[in-house]
Amino acid sequence: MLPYLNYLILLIIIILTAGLFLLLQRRNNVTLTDPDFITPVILNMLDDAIIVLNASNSIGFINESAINLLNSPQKDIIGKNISEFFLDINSKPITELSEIILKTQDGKMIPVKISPLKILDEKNKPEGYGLILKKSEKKNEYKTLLEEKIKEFDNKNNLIKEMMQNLEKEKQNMEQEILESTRNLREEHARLYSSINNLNFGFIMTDKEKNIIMMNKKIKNLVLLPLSETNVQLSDIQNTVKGKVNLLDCIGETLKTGNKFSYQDMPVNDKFTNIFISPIIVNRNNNSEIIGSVILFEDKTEERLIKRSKENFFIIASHELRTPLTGIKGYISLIKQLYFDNIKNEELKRIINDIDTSSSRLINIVNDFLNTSKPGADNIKIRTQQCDLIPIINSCIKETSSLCLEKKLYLNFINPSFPTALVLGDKDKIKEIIINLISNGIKYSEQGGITANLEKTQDERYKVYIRDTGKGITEENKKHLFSKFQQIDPNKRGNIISSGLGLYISKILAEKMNGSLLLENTVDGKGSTFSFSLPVYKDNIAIPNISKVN
Amino acid sequence: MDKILLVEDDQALIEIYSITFTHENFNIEIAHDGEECLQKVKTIKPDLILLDVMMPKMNGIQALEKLKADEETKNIPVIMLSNIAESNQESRANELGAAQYLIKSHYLPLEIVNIAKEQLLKSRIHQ
Repeated sequence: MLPYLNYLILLIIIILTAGLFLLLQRRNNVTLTDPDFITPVILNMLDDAIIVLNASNSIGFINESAINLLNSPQKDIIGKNISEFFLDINSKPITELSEIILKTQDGKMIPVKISPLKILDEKNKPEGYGLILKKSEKKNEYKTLLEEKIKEFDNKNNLIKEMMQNLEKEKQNMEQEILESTRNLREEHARLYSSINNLNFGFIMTDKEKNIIMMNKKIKNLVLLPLSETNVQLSDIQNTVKGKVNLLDCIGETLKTGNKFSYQDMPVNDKFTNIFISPIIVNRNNNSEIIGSVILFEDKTEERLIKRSKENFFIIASHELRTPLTGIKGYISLIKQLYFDNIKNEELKRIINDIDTSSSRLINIVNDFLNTSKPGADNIKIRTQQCDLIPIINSCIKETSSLCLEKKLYLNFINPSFPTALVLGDKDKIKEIIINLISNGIKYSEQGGITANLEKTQDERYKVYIRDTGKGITEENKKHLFSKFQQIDPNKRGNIISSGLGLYISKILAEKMNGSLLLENTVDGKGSTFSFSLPVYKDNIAIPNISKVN
Repeated sequence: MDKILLVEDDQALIEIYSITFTHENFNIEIAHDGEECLQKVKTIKPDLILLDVMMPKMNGIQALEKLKADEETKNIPVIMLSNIAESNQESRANELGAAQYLIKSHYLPLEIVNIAKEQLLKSRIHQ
């Protein structure tokens, strides 16, 4: 067997050598002149990768370097569209490309420099492209680019981080601010609550549904509820109000219409209160909305008590002062009435007259003081009735004439053309006013005298004018003329007839009878004229207590 | 001769009014407080009562109330004489049926007599 094998091996070597010889023969002689043979050989020897595309961009030829570059077997490359291997290859005309990105099978992206050539046929028509590719040194450039991008990203990242930090800081600041304002609000609330709680007013706040949402100590004290009591309804409060106020109805209306209510001297348990009800209004988007109501109870008990005891004091004082004065005046009038003719001594008569005048003055002064100092001086009782001014004026003239004697002043009443002057008023008060005006005239006139006259005005009033020849009233004194405590000239003190409250009281009295008291005119050094007017009495006004006696 | 019952606690005023009324031909009787007034009114049967307000034991307003509640005395005209110028008292007196309410210090004794005369005349016409 072995000798055959040796023969066989020898035979194969001979055949192979002959074949190689034949091949080399052929090469040297035929193929080196054949471009179809030589072109790919040369192309394969080049370091640059070369790819030839046909007109439809599919790969027609590829050299060794290109196969290496694409890293795929030749059969998987030929005929494929170039775009399967390169990104961006279709982004612009191939002739304008200078760099494209190679997608490798393992997903890497490699930038490649490209020099495209247009291949034309004999008729100068484009047949395809030749692409010369160079693995780009731009790999590094790209890396730098990438690094730059990364850096840029890092920067941006840092920026974002910084922004996040700032945001966090801001958030913390805001939280701090919110905490602070919450604390401020709480403090404010506490202050308000404590003020309301210690208010000397009973305070109740309700919501829109009439539920009590807040009340203070004082109200619990007023309605006799224990301080710890929290569940209080408006009806519980209503039960303690003994006056004619329906809180629920009032609050209902206040919540509906925004109306306010106020009641005076309402009994609440054993106390007296003024009650005020008011809506709570909030402005929202230019619309006012009622969101609740407030009820205030002002405790007037103490004040009433003080007023009452003050009144009592004045009742006692007026009684105790007036009674002996009435006695003195009464005795003198008895003397004058019953025994005056028996008195032969003229000086005694004068003394008795002086006592009479002085006691009258004293009574007037006491009356003035009591009337003006009394609580509710404006409650002066007026009993209006039909009266004739003419006899009243005459009687006033008679009563004051003795005051003129000392200064030798005249005192005249110019009788009017009409026989009666009927007015509606209080006879005693009218007398008081006219006597006061005449007395003032006498007080301030050193010579001349007083003239009274009566006129009927166009607006249906009777007007009494009292004109004196005194020194007149200065601008400064005019201001204080009708005020409660007018200045009294100390030099005149010895001569005062009234307390100086006269004009103040007279004006009040006149106005209470729908009348008026005015300074008509005053001329420096020549005198002043005061007027007092009352409405004319009309027959159709019913007057009580005036029976047809005469 | 008309009979007047004067109810007054002040001695000076009692004397002054007594003298004046007597001088003007009235028969005047005195009571010093409200209680005495109610006792005497039955026996004296006055034509008019002058009643002070502020008095011991029983004041004028209380006495007036009793006088007006009694059939026997309710038609006797009562003039209240007071030195208390307090509107509450006055309106209470008017409510109870006082004919008038006068402040004593505002009137001379003779003026009071004249008012009493007018009042008597008025009540006679009404009767």
